[in-house]
Amino acid sequence: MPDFWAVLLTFLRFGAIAFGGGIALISEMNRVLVLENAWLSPRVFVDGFALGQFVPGPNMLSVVFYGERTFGVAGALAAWLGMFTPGAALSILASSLWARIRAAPWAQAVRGALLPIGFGLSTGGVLTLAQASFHGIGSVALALVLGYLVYSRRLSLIAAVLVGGAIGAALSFLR
Amino acid sequence: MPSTLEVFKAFLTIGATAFGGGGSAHIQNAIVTKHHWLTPDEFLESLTLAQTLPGPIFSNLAAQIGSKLAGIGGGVAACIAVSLPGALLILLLAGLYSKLPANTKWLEGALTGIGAGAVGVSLAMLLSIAPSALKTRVALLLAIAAFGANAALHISVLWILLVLVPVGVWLGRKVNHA
Repeated sequence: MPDFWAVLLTFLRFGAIAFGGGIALISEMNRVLVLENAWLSPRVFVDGFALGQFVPGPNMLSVVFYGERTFGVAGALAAWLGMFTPGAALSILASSLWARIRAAPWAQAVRGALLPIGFGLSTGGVLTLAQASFHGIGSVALALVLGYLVYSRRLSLIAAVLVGGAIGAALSFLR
Repeated sequence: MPSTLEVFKAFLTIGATAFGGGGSAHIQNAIVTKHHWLTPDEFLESLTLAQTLPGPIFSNLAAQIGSKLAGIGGGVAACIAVSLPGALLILLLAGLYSKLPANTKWLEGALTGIGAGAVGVSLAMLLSIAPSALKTRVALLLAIAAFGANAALHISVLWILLVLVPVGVWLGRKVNHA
């Protein structure tokens, strides 16, 4: 089992490379936490992600769950610090620096490259998430219907997650 | 301009009420519409920058806007406030998770449904940001390359960035000069 520092370093690395938002990291976290180190089972990984969607605040709070499952409350603190510190520190730094460099052509060029790459990584993350959380054609259909309702603004995000959970629980009684 | 405490309180409210993602919309609603601490243009620039930096966009945006409003202390306060309520709740749930019987059918069903909801919400988010992320052919190419390397080839994100960012900058420059 890992210690506090191993968890902190692992999640610091995640936090530092999570371009395109946390969701771009799902397949990378799956690779490291489940496949490479076997700190988490595939089921715990998926449940943690679902709970991260369920609680208020950043979706990536699922790392607090992963940290707790790996090394207790200290692991939760390590994962939280690791995931959120690099981006927060850079954001605070950037907000003072950006005003000065924003007009530079290289800054625009790097930003222009990072946005679509981040989008591609996010799409890969959603695919990984779908592969992990889909159990049969019913959940695929449920995800597509809920996604459409959210995209067309007929359903709020929290309502979509709650309705999904309620339908999933109801269907389990029929099986 | 608000004090650090006012920034902390505003972001604590956001952190406690923004369920299921969509954090940027919640921050925009509170900071621009409700408190008038930033103009819509200033907010949009912060959002773009938050997407460019590594880390969760929600907390990055909070840290950035917090520091814009109340200095470094404001940035730290905003980042902690926005993730504190959810972090405490998920820690509580993690503690309960281990005490739950392994074969609770309805709970497994509920989590599968929540997972499907999360995939749906994520798909909706991808659809809504696609127009701004994929403006050019080069951008579309970079997105497909990043997607393929990540999802099909399972290459580490770090390597993908080290290769694709220079390629993207170079391709982008060629297009601009043409």
